[in-house]
Amino acid sequence: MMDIWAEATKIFVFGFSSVFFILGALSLSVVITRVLFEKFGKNPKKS
Amino acid sequence: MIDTFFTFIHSMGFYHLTVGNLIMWAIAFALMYLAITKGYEPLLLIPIGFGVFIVNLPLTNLMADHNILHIFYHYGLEWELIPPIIFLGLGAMTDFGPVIANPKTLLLGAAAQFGVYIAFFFALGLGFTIPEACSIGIIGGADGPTTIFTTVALAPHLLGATAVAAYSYMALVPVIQPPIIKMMTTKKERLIRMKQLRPVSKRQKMIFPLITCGLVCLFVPASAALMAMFMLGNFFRESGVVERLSGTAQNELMNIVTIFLGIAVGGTMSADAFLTPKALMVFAMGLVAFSFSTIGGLLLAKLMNVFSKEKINPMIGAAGVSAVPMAARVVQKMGAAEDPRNFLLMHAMGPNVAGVIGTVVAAGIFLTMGGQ
Repeated sequence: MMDIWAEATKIFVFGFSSVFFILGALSLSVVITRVLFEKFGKNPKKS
Repeated sequence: MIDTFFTFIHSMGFYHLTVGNLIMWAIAFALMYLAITKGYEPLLLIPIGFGVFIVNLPLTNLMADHNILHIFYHYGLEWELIPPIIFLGLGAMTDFGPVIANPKTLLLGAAAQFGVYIAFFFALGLGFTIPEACSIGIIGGADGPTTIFTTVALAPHLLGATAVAAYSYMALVPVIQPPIIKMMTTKKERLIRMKQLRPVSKRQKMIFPLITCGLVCLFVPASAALMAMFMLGNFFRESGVVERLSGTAQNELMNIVTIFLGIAVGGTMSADAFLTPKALMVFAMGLVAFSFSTIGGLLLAKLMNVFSKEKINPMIGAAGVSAVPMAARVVQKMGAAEDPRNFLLMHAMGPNVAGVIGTVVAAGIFLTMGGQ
């Protein structure tokens, strides 16, 4: 019984923090891409 | 002669009807009624409802090996074919512009997975196994194909209950979310106006699916089938050179697989498989998951306002549950009710589509860690 709760806690801790970590990393990549485009991109076409 | 007569009677479905079959018919008709009269997810609830009806016609054996519903189920769901194809279509329909314009909304999509884990723990407390609890928890992501994908892999016997719960609660977003949003926010917060989103270049939109696909699939390979197809569909859309493929993915292909998905899910809902205390508990847990996901998004949005100079309307956090675009529409409607000149729809679309990515990530982690 204890094993199940220990396993569940592991899934929660790794799972929820990974969701934040991955979406946070994605968010950062979007910002980096924007900065790179603004710095080096030639007149990006707006849509 | 009499023997032949009785054999004939025994060969009829009528003779084998059970109370369970009749209850399932009632559920089938209720689903179809809600779809037709209330417009609740008709594209899914009509085929699911019909599937439930026909699988509960005794002696038809439509879910027996090599029979029609079983073929749809086996090749479509067990082979994990249909959910990724649906994601291809969803990707082709999705505009990631609001997320790219305001990337912190990605975090709101992550926070709105809170309910997934709360329901996971609740389900364990009710005696479900870890794989079953994962399948139940993922309902909180409010994403039908992801729920189906996860359940088929981890707890296929719960497929009917989790799929119907996911789609039912998605359809009920306009009923479930407003009271929670009102309870968790003040009038002053609901009146916050957000400045117009900055324009996003075509190149940024084009590179976003590539980055997302690479990043998510490298971190959580188990989510690759869904994420890769989602981003492929979006790349079709944003590349601007394959309109035919994009159009097919979001129209014809999507419609075809939706029929197979609905009828295959309905086919799993025979009376003996569905009328169990477990199925009822799945429905209850689904509501818990959905509510806490809404709360998670709202809380993070409020927290962001504590640290950020540029305030966001915390209601957009509630749109982090993936039900696209209903959750965003609910936020827009509630914002307009408080201030008719407050336009929140595009701001809410950010967390809304981020929620889809968040749910796929959460599902991938469940598949990796919860299946042992």
